[in-house]
Amino acid sequence: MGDLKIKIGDMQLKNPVMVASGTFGYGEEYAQLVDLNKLGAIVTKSITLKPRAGNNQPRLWETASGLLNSIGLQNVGLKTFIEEKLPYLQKYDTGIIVSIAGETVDEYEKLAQALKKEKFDALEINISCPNVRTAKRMLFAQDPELARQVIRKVRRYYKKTVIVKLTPNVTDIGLIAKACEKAGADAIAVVNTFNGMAVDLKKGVPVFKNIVAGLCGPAIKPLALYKVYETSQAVRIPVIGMGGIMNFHDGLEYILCGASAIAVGAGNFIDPQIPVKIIKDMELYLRENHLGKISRLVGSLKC
Amino acid sequence: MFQDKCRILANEPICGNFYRLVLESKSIAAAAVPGQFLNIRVEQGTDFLLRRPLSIHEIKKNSVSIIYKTVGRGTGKLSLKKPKESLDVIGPLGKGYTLSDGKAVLVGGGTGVASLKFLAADLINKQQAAVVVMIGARTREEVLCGNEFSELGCKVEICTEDGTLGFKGMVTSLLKQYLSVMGAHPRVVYACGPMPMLKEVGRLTSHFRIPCEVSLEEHMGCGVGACMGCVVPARNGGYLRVCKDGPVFDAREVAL
Repeated sequence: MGDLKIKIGDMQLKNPVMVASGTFGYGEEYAQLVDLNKLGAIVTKSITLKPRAGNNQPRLWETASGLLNSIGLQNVGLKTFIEEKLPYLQKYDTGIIVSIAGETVDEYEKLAQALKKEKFDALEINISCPNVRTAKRMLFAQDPELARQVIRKVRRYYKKTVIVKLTPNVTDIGLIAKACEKAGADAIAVVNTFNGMAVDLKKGVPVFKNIVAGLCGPAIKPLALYKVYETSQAVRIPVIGMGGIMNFHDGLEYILCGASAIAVGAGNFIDPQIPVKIIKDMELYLRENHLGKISRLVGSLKC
Repeated sequence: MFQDKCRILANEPICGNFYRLVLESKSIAAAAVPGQFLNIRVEQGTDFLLRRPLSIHEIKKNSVSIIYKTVGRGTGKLSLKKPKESLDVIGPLGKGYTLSDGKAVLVGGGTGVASLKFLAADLINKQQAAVVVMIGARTREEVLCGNEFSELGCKVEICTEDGTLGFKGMVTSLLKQYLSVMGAHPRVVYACGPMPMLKEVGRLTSHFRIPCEVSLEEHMGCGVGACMGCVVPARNGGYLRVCKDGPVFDAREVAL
């Protein structure tokens, strides 16, 4: 039997395959199609202090092998999440990673404070949503000092595993990742979506009202893979890799490039069975090649 | 809700750019209600192409059919699929129509007409309702399913924008005339079609104080309510998901 178990911070997972934030709702949406108990972890849609309505239409735009989105963090808000969504997820035998997002350092601090007593496995700090901007039009994940401030504040209240989700839209992701590591993060999730845009030629206007939107899907895989490689070279803490993963081979590439765990995002829309198939193929691969533990393969790329 | 590999029993042009696709699936056929849709994976390859959400047109014991118009990359590829090939289908999805008894008026425009067939069948067979169907199209070649509705026992009114068949003008003008007649008062109006049509149907039914349900269309990411991609503004603020809270809504619920 191949051993798929992994550990990230204090969080023990039965396998390293997650579903990425924003692509799997609060888990319940997919429960009729996917056996949630098989997943390594479910990362929830990012939660904000108050419910958020999100952006106007259009929110989605198909591109060559990819998908641009501009959802704008529509979510039920902290209160409803704790009262309704979290208890549902707790019924399952899977890792629960709660993603949080804020517009100010203070909001992240309040979210961490409110969630510290709740029962789940890890907190993912989303400081990289391209569709919600702070006044300075800079994301927390685009400045090592801002990233550090957020993590320090969250750490003060939240003692269990903290994952920081970074944007690829920076010159040196290693620099930001190092700042997060130093500030007390247990793991780095790489990457959120790439900045992109689309044009409505009939009207001569941008498709999206914000002009910029986030690109995901197989189109970004080579780009994201390199960001994961760069990040894993820069830090000692585990990296969770994602971007266009559609099958086990995609996932294995990420693992070889330094990812301790992987997440399926937009792939869930095409085929909700992808994460479960990856887990099955991963176990088969370990067994057939007598590799024992999946953790042995992490960062094993021969350069 | 199921995810099935469904064998294609038929996939053929019916008129203009409209096609009828018949898929084998006992489980989906048994679970489906009028107004629900299927989310179909058109392509198995590595090219990332989102599933295409298409409304259910008709169910039989072992099969479910849809009518679609080839409008782009996805539906274009779908039209090339041959019988005996299979398609990865998720369905039935979404919230359907609320069945009412008494007199019902069904208003359809373009491919929207297709999903009203399943509704008409249930209204007549399960509710013994009296059904009037108003079919709107640009021109006579694009008038969908007229005979199918007549065979069910519906009163059929056809309407073309160029006047090549039936009433000349928009289907909503016909609806307005119909509702203006004393005693025509239907118990409910159901509508499926392009947004400008639905907007006008919503306005007319509100004016005449007749309950109305509309079926909406939007680009979808997941089709199951997870990604928040296909939302429509709610009348009371915020957004509703077309795939999960709809695609059928009370016309007063949404800001059309």
